[in-house]
Amino acid sequence: MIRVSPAARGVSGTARVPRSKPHMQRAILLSLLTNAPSIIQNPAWSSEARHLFEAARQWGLEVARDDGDRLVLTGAGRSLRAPRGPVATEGSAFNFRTLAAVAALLPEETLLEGNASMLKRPVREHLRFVSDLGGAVRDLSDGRRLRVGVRGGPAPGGRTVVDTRHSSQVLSSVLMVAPLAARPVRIDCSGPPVGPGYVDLTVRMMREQGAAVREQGLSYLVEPSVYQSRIHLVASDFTALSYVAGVVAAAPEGELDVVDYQPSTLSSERDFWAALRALGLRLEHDPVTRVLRIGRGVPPGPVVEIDGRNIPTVVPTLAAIAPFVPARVSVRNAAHVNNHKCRRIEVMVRELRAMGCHIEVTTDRDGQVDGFRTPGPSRPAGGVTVSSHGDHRICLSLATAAVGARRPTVVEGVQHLHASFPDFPHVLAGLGVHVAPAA
Amino acid sequence: MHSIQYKQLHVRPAASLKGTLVPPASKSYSARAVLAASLAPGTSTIENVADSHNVKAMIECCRALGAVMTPDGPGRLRVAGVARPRDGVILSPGNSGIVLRLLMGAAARSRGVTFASPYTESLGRRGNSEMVEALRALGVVVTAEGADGRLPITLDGAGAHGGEVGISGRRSSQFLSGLLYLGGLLDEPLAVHVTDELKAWPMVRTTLAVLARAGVAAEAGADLLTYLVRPGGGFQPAAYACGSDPASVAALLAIATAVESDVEIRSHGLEELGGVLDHLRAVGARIDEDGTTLRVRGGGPLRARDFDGSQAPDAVLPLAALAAHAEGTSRFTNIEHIRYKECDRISDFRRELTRVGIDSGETRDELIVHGSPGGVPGGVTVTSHYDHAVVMAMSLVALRSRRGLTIGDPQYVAQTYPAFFEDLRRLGATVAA
Repeated sequence: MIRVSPAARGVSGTARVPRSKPHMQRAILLSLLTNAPSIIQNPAWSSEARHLFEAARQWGLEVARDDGDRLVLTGAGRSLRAPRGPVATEGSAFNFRTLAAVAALLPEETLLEGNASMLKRPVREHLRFVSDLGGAVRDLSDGRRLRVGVRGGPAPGGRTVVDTRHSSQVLSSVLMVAPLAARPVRIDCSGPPVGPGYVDLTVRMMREQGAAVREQGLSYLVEPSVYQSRIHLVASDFTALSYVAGVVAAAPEGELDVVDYQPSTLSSERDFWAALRALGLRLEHDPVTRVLRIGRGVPPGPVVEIDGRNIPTVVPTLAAIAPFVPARVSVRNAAHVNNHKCRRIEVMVRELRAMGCHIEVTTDRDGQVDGFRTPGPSRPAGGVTVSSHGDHRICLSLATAAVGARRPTVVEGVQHLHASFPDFPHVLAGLGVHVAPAA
Repeated sequence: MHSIQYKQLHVRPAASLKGTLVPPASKSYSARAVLAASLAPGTSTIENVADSHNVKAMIECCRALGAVMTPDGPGRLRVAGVARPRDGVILSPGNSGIVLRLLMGAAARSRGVTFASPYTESLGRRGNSEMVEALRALGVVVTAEGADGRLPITLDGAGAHGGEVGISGRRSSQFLSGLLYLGGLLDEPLAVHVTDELKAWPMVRTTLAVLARAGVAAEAGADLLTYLVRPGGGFQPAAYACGSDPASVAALLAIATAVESDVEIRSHGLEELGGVLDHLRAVGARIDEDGTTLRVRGGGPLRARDFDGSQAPDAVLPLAALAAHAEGTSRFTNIEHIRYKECDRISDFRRELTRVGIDSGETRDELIVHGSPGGVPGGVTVTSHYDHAVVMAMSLVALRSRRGLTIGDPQYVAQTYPAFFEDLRRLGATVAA
């Protein structure tokens, strides 16, 4: 637990945010599938990325050089080598899905393993693409671990339907391996994918490397094509940026510089920056110095309405910011945010209200929670202990809101920050916020 | 099957080759045209643009600098250029020296542009000190790795200016070409003189032709050792048409000469083949020209002949591979500069010749090949050294060998000729993954 004191005199200074996990994951996969050298510049090493990287090495990804901030790799292309033993995906559904897609390119059976938590998550039922593309799946799980054998067909290719109602990860996984199939691959989505920005990211990164991908409504057609050598410049994590920007919004005044900031081309990041500007923040990025300056900008209008459909990861931060904005703020179309580690919208609203913020959930026509709204600015009292519910994004968002409270707030759950932004308490301290461990 | 997806390919001996091919478009002209179009505000078109990986690297770099590229039918590219390339970008020239050096000139007025390449063992080892020093003399702040100006390189051109500058042409003419592109962007005249000798002069002629088409007034002395670029309206939109790639045509001609064959090569207008046709005829090929079509019939006895490599530097390796099957010794002269390509095309290539049992020698400026008219046994593995020219030359050796060759890292043929192995199959060769 940490005790976050109010930033009564505002915030200032410099901050640094981690690099983007989605970029890193895709860069690893694409580097493996490229029969030429690649560079991953500014790698973002989460535990999930590390496991994915180790798995890719089992298929033939080679490290030519590791300078810390620059990783030079040589991939395998179609000369993927069959892993000698089981491939561990631990508790990562993303890793399981993408590695199952890689395994579907090889005629030998690959054993993919996950821990017990994966048995409860929707992963096995989304492997239909393997058989659709000519391969086969064997479920060898027991009560203690997920264990699945995946084998590709003699000439992978064909048509598959991917369930995109709750996740776009399977879609991204099949898309990335499809250029290496022997025949064209057509992927039909069951509906508009959630997190379309991440699908855009996948397709953009594929095209930048030479993949032939055509998008036709909710279908994708990928022709056999060759990934070319690439420097993957891993973008900064705009979700991590959201907490730093949130601190400027919550504090009574301030301006700060985020150094070494590399914006992504994600439509999600573009939409998020637009939302911050609508909420009255100013963001100026210098591409040469790579400094992003964040301060107060043009005051918002009386009503700010934000569509949360394409910005799921920052909806909790927007909830933390909204009570401090001199406007009536609403975020809608964000029901999918509740499908993560906890019911994020409801939890955020409950904890913010405990701090004294004026905020309430909103529901859609079916009565499902799909967002929140504020009646105008609050001056929350703070002075309470709030819970992260085991979710790093809730913890970070609550610590952000605590900066604007009148009394110190204890935020529980810092032990979960390793998943995204472990240095955030130090970043807060560097901006002039008093942060101390709490018993 | 995309052969370049594999880390090894086995090329079997060919009893005969027969058929018609259209060789790839010129990577040299295409890369220059893409860059010139990207620097011209407005819309340019490029016909028959090469799909080689070098040109794709140039296209990606120009996109990063702000140009908009739109495919406009097969082999046709529409380019919306920008007057002021973007600052603060990282550019990867792939494994191409010409893409790097041209862009170093074109980006030398921008701020904070960094060049880096994943090919740390190839382009990453090539020095650029000539260009680095010339740019510094013109007011550009340059940071580079090591005294010989290796990647990564960062340019800050806020203080770039015109004037007079000298450049060495001994290792490469690419530095000179890069400076001529910079001249087209400056507000003051730029005078460039070559301080020693110019080895690959045909490539400079290609640069001058593209610049002229883009409306850049670059005047060259008759000896190609002095240049003056006058300030004008900068790069203008234009329509470009790329011919066939001379290096690829030379390789196909040499291959067809090496084995029993009847092959037609239908080009999109041949660029200068630099004495290659005369050389091949002297060696023993029957070559008939009909407009832009070349018909070559090979398979007869081969005579050893010397070749001045400065006429067609990219043709030297396939011609040397052919010489390995001739009666007698052939000398390829005036070629020191090919040591500074994707690999050292004299020493590294000789290493592979030795591996397959071909006797050869070298001096600083010369490759000497002692022919074995009976061919080589084959049955061994050779490596490409990241070099398309080595892949094509070793494929020739394999086709004429008794057991074929396994070629390691053949994918680098795509720098110039992505469909090379598919085209060999079309002629009847057997290439297996």
